Amino acid sequence: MPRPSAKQPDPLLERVLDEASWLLSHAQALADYGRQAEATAELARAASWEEQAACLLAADAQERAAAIHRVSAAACYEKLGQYARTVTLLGAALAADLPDDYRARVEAQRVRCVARVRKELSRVFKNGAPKQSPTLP
Amino acid sequence: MQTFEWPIEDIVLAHPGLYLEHCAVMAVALMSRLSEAPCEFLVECEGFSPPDLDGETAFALRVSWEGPTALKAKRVWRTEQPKPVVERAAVALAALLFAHLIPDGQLRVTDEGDRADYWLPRLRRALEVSGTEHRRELGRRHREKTAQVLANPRHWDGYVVLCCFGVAHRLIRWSHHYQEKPEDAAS
Repeated sequence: MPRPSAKQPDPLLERVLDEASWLLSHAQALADYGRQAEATAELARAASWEEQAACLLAADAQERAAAIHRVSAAACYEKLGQYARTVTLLGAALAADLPDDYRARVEAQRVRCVARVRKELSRVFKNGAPKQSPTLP
Repeated sequence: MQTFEWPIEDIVLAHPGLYLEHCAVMAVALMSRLSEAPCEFLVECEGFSPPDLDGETAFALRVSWEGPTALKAKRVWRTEQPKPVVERAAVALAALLFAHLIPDGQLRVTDEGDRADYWLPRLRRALEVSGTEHRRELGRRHREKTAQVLANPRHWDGYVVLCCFGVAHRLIRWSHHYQEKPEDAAS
């Protein structure tokens, strides 16, 4: 039968993980009800909390768990159309030791998002090089 | 066979790491089409037995609900398609089972892009949940979900909760699955 983990959980990390999880499920609920603008805002908040959870997990040498939360944050940013940020997070996640099938899914997601970044940049440069920051999402 | 009766609203406070109000509402939207409150399900456990069952592997689950939830549920079918309703209702019933029958059974979720992954962090278990209105789909769906839960990136053991909201069959198949050990894999 199941047994709890022997290691005492870090209360701060637990709160961050609960917050990220709650926001993800709330974003899903808002999307279910067709409230897209609110769902998008909640998804952005969830992504930020997932990144912070990953940071704390990595600092605690829980590299695989950190990678899973980076991938979760990346999934949020991809839905938000922030592909460059998605690629960065997926790259960091892929630095961890991951199961082969999971790694393959994450790599496929990264390839897809790199293609989106290139497409967006091509669009930005289509009418000559801009002299300001690219207006990428 | 033991019978348990709980209000679906229990899931809201039982899982602080999830927003489950809408799942409760969708569960009531679906259950109230099938019966008056409480709506009864036969729950069949595979590979484990919850502590309160004293070794039994089947029990009756009666799910009740309150007036305000019923009022919200009446509005669900105006905007929702059946499939999301069935899936969210299944999450609600899974959350109810873990809240009452599995100590330290609090749930969390992560985003996998095309789907949500549920976890039982205190127990170090993954969870896959699915719902259907057709009993004939249970076998195939159970095989798919078992494979999915064991493919979780943490390599944790896992539970599968499959809920059938059939007119004639209201059934929950609740199973526990162990990861294959390396020495087993070699054999």
